[in-house]
Amino acid sequence: MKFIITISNAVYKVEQVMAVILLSIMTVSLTAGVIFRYFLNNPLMWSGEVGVFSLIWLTFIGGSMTIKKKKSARLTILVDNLKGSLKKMVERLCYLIVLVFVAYFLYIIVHWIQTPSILQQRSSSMQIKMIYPYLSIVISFLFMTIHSLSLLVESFYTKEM
Amino acid sequence: MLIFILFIVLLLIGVPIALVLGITSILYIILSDNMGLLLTAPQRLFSGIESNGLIAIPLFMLAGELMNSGGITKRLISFSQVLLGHYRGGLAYVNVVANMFLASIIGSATAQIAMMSKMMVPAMEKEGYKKEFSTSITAASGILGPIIPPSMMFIIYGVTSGQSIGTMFLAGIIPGVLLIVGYIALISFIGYKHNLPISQKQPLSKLFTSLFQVLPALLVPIVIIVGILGGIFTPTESAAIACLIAFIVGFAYRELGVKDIPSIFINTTHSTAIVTLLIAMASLFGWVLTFEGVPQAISEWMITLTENPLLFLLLLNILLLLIGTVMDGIAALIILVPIFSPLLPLYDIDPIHFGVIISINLTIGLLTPPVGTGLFIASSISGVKFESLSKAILPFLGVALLVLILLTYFPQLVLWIPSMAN
Amino acid sequence: VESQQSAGDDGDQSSSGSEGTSNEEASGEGRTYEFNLSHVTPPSHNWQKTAEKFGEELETLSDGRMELEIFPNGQLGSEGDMIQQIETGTLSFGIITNAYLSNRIDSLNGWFMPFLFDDLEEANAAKETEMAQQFLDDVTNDSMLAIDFAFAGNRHILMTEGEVTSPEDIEGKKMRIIGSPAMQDFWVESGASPTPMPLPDVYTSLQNGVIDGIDIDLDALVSLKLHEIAQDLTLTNHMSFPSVVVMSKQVRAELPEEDLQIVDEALESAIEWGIQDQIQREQDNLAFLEENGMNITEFDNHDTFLDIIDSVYTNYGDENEAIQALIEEYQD
Ligand code: NA
Ligand code: NA
Repeated sequence: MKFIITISNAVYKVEQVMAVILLSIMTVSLTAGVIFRYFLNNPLMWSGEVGVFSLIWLTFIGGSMTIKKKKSARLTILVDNLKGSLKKMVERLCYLIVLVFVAYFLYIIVHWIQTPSILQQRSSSMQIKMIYPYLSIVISFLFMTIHSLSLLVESFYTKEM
Repeated sequence: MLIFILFIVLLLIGVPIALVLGITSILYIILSDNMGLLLTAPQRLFSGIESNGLIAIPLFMLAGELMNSGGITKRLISFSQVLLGHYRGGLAYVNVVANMFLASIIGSATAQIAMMSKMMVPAMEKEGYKKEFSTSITAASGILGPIIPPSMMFIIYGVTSGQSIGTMFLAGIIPGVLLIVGYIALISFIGYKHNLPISQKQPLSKLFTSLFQVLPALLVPIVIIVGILGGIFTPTESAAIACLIAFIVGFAYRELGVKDIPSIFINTTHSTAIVTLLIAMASLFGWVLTFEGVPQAISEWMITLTENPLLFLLLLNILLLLIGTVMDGIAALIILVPIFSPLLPLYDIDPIHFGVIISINLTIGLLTPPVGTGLFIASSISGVKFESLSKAILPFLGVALLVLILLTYFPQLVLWIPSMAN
Repeated sequence: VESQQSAGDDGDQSSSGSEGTSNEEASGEGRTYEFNLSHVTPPSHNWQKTAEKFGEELETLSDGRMELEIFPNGQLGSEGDMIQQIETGTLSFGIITNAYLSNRIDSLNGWFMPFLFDDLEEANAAKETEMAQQFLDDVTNDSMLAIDFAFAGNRHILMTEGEVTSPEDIEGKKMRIIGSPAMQDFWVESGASPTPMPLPDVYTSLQNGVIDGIDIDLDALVSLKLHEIAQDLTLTNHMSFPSVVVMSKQVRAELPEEDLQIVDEALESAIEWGIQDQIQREQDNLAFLEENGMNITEFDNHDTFLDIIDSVYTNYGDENEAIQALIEEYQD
């Protein structure tokens, strides 16, 4: 099962690259929006929409990254006061719950993305197919599934505290 | 009820809050056997963050990260030090004032507390201040981050309640000033009582050098305010402009290199996604609640409790403070705003006033045990025990609560600047 | 009486479709229904009032067997969400803006042909045409039935400074517009600088000059209090602004014929009532704006826009027969 850890690490590398690109796109498109509207008096129709779609991609890809790096906001008040094998067990239970959820949600997402109306939709400013921003959910939940499986596997390989 | 218990259990065992919201929503849908809802859940997740205003979150976070890596934090501190260091308790004032400057660039209290704890606490310790005192003042002043514009809390409130983010920003100015005045009064009281240290007076030439050095950074809030009021850009776009300035300033200071950029961007992505994924999941959660009529039920119940707006706000403040003791402010804000916003017309409460109160209240929650994210960060960076920090923070917490009460009962303190700008 | 129909494409969805929206106590006469309806406008909007009227009619006509729960303000999500919910049978009815749907269904751009209708009454009358029926058919799919159009007020032009008498008055001006293909084309052709922007940002953006004007209906103008910050309103009537009233086919499939008739009848009279209410609103809004000192100009220089109108008509008319027919019927 150790190979899943390798896959998860590789996925995280891809996510890092995506994050840098997405944030750059966001900054550039909004700055360009200001320059073109205020200084060149020629507003860009697409700058806001590009910003929103990058934010959506960034949210889900970044969300997957925070799961991998265990940075998500969570309550630690109880877990911090546990010790030894009990702590380990609660931790594993958490990973398992997260895994089951993201995998099940991925299953729902795969059904959702195939509904006929999805392909019909276009964005309101750029008229691009909405499937492109929607794909962020599919891909990120796939990544989350890989990461949370990897976390669960890792927790069995690390020594008890 | 089963779902509610599950919600609490999942939170307690440490499942990420965003996923707890998702899991309970999905389980609820499955248990209520409404499979149609299930298939539309991903769509809801998507449109929960499909909002122009939310773009400001990563961009203001990025601006803050760039500024910090570009050496701005230490320049702000040294400028404040030349300005105020020679009074009794000088470095304590410096701490507050440097936090004020930093708050006008950064929108998040936790980010600000982390940055300042690293810089200020060792500096104060060296001058003979007690570590507990230094850490508590840093944590307390850090909550200026989301009160003085720009502010993550105000952006999120604006987006979830349909209010103008620009107006929210303006509304935060007086509350921020009040908090600063309150802290300064408290420090001068403590200063004389406990005979706090004095630093050496710096020569006037030093003042000019450090002012000159810090000027580009002070430019950021000025550009933002002037730009928004002058119609050059929207509050959302102002965040991108702030990044642009931060880039230029960072490179000009020669502290920011191209090689630093990837890790800054990745850090920003982490801190963004922690918040925005929560928003997406909370909108799924809120949607399930709406389908079930929960907000309506709460509204009806609140109305039976009191019809007096002031009493309502008092009850609400108490409720929020209680929630704030155990829950992260932004998460609570995201979940609660859709529930309470519909009540405002019934009590004739201004939504901007309400937004400022709920945001500040939940920000104060960062400083209250047992779950005080601000306290955790400050204590882990400075090495002060959580318990002793919880005690040392109390006087500052008192000041913050006093300000909150003032703001609650005098809406004009919040609404005056926005009304002047109109 | 009713056999379980399988609606929708997903096999695993068919059996559990619209639970929560209908209570099968008994067959026929005795059955009770709890429908729901969602729209994205605020509770003060005509579409909310129309929905309320629809609820009342349902209750009266069914002797209290049918109830309608209304979710204004997009409480159940964006219009994209609403369509999905309708398709899965979670939501029974939706009032969805033509602007949103025009991004999916090309023919709906017909309603946005510039200066085609003189006023709200004329636009409303056009929904009785064959072409309008064709538009509805285009929206209708396997899981969603488009029943009718409900018109909000016509679009006019509000500027912070200066009335509009010809395209020159809007040339280079930053105008907040709604994202929809034909609307964008019209504004681009007119030489304006169209700027999409979320509605909550409009007040401050108009005030401090991020935008110079807005393409807007009087209801929105009044409810956003834009008269406080912009003085010049030109009553252009340059476009109509309908919504499409849609119903979930899954919900529909569970209704016996008599109950279907009740629903359709209730909706028809609610929409009829709604348009009268809207016409009254237009007058009230105008009176209110006049009282508040707004500089209001009637627009009658269509000629100055002729080239632009022609170009947009040709673009959309050539692409779609129903749009072409609508243009021919209503072009002055
Ligand atoms: Na701030
Ligand atoms: Na707390």
